[in-house]
Amino acid sequence: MPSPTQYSGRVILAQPGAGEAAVSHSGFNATASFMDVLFSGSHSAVCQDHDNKDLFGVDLENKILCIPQTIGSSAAATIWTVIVERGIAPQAVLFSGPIDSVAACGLVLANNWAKGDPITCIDQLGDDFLAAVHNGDRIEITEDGTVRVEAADR
Amino acid sequence: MKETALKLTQEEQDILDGGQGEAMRKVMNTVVMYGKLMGATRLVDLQAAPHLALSWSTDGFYPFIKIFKELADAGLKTYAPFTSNPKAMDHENLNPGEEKITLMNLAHSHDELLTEIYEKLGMVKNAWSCASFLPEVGNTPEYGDNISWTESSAIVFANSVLGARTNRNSMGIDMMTAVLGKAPYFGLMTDEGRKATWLMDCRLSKLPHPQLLGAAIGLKAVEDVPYIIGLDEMISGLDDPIGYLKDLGTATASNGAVGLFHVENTTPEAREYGRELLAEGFETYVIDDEVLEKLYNSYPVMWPDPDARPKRVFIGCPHNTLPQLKWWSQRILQGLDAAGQDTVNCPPYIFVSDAVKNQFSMENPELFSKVEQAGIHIARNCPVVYMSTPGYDDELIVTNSNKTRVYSKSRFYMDDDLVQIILTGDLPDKAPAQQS
Repeated sequence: MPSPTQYSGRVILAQPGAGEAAVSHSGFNATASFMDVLFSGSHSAVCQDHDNKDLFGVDLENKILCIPQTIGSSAAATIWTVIVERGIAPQAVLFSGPIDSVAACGLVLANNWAKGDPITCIDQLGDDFLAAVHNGDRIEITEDGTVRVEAADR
Repeated sequence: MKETALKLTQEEQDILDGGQGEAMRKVMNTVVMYGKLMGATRLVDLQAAPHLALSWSTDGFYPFIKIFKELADAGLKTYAPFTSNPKAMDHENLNPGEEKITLMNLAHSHDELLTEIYEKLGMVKNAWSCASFLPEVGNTPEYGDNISWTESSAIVFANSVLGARTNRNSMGIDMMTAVLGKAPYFGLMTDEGRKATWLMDCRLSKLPHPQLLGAAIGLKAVEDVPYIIGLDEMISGLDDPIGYLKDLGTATASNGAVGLFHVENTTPEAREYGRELLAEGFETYVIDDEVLEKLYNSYPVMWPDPDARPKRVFIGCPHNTLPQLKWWSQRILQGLDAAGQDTVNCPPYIFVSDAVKNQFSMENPELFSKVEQAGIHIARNCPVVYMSTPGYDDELIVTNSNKTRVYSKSRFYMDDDLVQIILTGDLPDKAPAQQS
């Protein structure tokens, strides 16, 4: 098994943790991914975005979501708050680039107003990080924002 | 959250210290955290009037409705009367039957509460439209105004077509900045942030569908600012360039995350500064007919039976302009005349604000009457939210909106195809993307 690869980025909110990677190489449309959570009272975190070839149909609950940035609708802030309160949020969102303003709004609101476990958030991990990580890889996060990626058996 | 330097005035610091009460302290704290995260150096005063995105009232939005109630209960008001996105329902003009109306009312069970809260906070009465910037609605910022809007399509229109300045904010922050009358100064509010890092070189045989071209631009630029060349002469020949630019921007924002675009010789900053708006080291992307054709053919079909007959045709997301409403009405009626039909075979719904509909009926009473007789519906609700309501997923919808396609199982068709569907009720064979 190859040794883990390590990355560091800007800590927005970091808590030590470990989990399974869910990776989108294109922008992550939070609204399209969780439409039923917003409108149908769904408690499922299975990604509904049919345009997202990497994550469509993947359950994102408690995963470590690895993305370049978010895209799409400004309703997205609500998503992060609701999935935190319903206990179905990813445990962390890791951005390869700088966090975008829509995601920043959502994560600030979720981590300050929602009742539930806050979402770890680290940005600026670099393009190499997103190129190296794959769905199912094990990721460890430390409080100083260090991200260790251990490749899953493929 | 990690903090960066953001200098507050004494008055702002007093608010942060609780000098104007606990609700304002929490509001300022949230806005300051957002600003620090995005590298803002200060807060700026806002002009014009706010536009908010939240107009839906399912349990999914209830956490935010509670926050807004907390602000209203504290007696806070926005710095100017505000507009908001369209509601989910307009049963008068889009009637899905009693059973589904019940489901809709159950799903949006906090609707009365949200309306009551918005009235307290300062909403303009009945100003529910995602295209609030149109003159008929009247929330139209001026060139250079600092605003803090949500609704991705309204943001990109205000920045690009009006030359106002707003970042791509998200629900919740919109209300907090509206209550403060201030927003963090960063990104698209700055001169530097409005420079283009992409030159989109359009080499097209004709002016394409705006929401297909917008999607291609959004997918490439993602959140960067594109400077678009090769469109200006074609756009200048349109009767309704505003409608075209509105729809172009909408697709850049929903298929990507574009908050501002420049069109050479067309949008205000491009007219003023030209290619000086291109940032050093910009990249170039050529968009030709083949790029658009390939993109159009890549869209997945989400219907259980791809050959099923559609139930409704949805025209507009975002809300149409007055010229778009007139154009679609006349085009469908002309199609009916040519086919020797009195009524449509698949009902079209043209989405507009109340203000645009009222203006249309006043200016064109005879046409308005013909539209109603032919079975063409003019509705005020949000089509995407309508389709997202529990129990509505059996409705097979075709649309001219690539934004609606992104957020639903609807299928995106070119305008000529939609007219044929309206007339015959049948789906066409997959047609080329280069129709008008």
